[in-house]
Amino acid sequence: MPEKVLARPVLVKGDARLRIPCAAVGELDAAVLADAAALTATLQSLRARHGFGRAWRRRRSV
Amino acid sequence: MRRMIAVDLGAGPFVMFDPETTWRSSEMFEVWDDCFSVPDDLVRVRRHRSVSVTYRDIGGRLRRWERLPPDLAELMQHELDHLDGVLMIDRALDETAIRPVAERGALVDVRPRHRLSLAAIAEAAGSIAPEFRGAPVVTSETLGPQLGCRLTLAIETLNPVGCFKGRGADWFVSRQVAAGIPATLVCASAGNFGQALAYACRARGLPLVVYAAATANALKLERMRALGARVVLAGDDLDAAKEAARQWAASAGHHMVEDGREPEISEGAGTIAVELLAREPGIDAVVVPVGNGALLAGMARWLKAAAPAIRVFGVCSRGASAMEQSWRAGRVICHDRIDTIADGVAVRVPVPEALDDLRGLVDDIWLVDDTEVLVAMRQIHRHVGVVTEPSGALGIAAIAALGGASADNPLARQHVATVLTGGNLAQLSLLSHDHDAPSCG
Repeated sequence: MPEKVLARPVLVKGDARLRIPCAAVGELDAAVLADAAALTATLQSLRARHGFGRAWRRRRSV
Repeated sequence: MRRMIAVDLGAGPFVMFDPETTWRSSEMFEVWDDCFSVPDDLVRVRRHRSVSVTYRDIGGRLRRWERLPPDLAELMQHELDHLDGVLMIDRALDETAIRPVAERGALVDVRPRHRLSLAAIAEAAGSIAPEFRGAPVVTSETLGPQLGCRLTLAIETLNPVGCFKGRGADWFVSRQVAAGIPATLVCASAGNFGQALAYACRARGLPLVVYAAATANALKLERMRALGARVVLAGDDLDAAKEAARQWAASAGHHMVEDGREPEISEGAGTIAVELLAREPGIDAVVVPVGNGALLAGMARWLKAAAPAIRVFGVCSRGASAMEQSWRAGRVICHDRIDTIADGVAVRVPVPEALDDLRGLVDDIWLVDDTEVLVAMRQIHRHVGVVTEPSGALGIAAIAALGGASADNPLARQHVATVLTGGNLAQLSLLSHDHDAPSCG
């Protein structure tokens, strides 16, 4: 049975890591795919908790 | 940390690896932005109204997501900023542009839901009658190269009603029964929808009355009757028959079922896209025949949420182009007459709901003439061994008309899929090369 991928904490304002430009992915190796699975699990977790993700909303253009 | 974005537009998540912006519109717009990393604030920012991006998908394939609509363009700009260490608060327009999230209700509109439910399409994909699911999806190794692309065909001719409409009809009738809505149904049909609805009604013991034009395909009329429908001939074309059906249903107190108006019918058709993507996730473009637009809407709804880099094109008959003109104009345009051998797509009065369902989901709609359709039918027969009726060959006709490997063909060398939508051909002589002057389907 595949191991359940766990969601990771969302970084919030003040966390210095939010200011670090991300590195290119390059090859889609096992480590990258594991990160991708965790990222997806995190998104799904947010969706489950809040009932929506950012793409479900439209901002008023006034 | 590495450059990847997870996105879920409602049809399941996907990950964009190494996304890059390749184009930005000069037009800008202002929006209230929000962010889970800045959970207490809304921020007024200025964004490009549209962008194009490239990325690699989970299979390592380069995807080009072109000219995003404003809401998704804003989303991508926000997420790409994150990858560069930029937060929305860095883009606040001025000192009044950062507001407490508690003001959201006054500042931010909730996007109205699309009429076609992605959850319903997913549910239908697992629950419509099994004889309509899992249709063959094949790659033609000879026709594709001839058309200048890698060609995948979803073959919807090999089921009990010989066309794709069994999916939507089955899903619609199952929902009607589940909701306990009165039993007798009435519809108008050129033949394929009537067969599909008759099949679904028969399976559940529901009576059905089908109105068809006096000029309708004799084979389809015979099959509708064989499936238990009472068939009434009225008017000279589908739209005239539809008006007669509507009047009779209202007077008799029965439920008029209009293909394209009922969302469940489009959702059922959308299951073709679910199966297609499951089999061929690397598709670049999908080309879909258009009659009333229910098939195109259902498929495009799923494709643009599950794999939005896929371009979705519709194809109308040049002799029945009301939907194409309506889509371009953004309003219903009715025609006085139709002139095509493709009876299955011969719509002259578009359904407003079906037209609205296409908004924002379709990249273009093309026209093909009957001669191109005839050639396509023969190509399909020769290369794939499948008989299609004229409307079932519109996709291949359109792909062929783009000019093969020529530089200005938007599908050249792409992985292209189309649906062979139906095989209820009354006049087999249309497949013969000595029949070049089409007169009927």
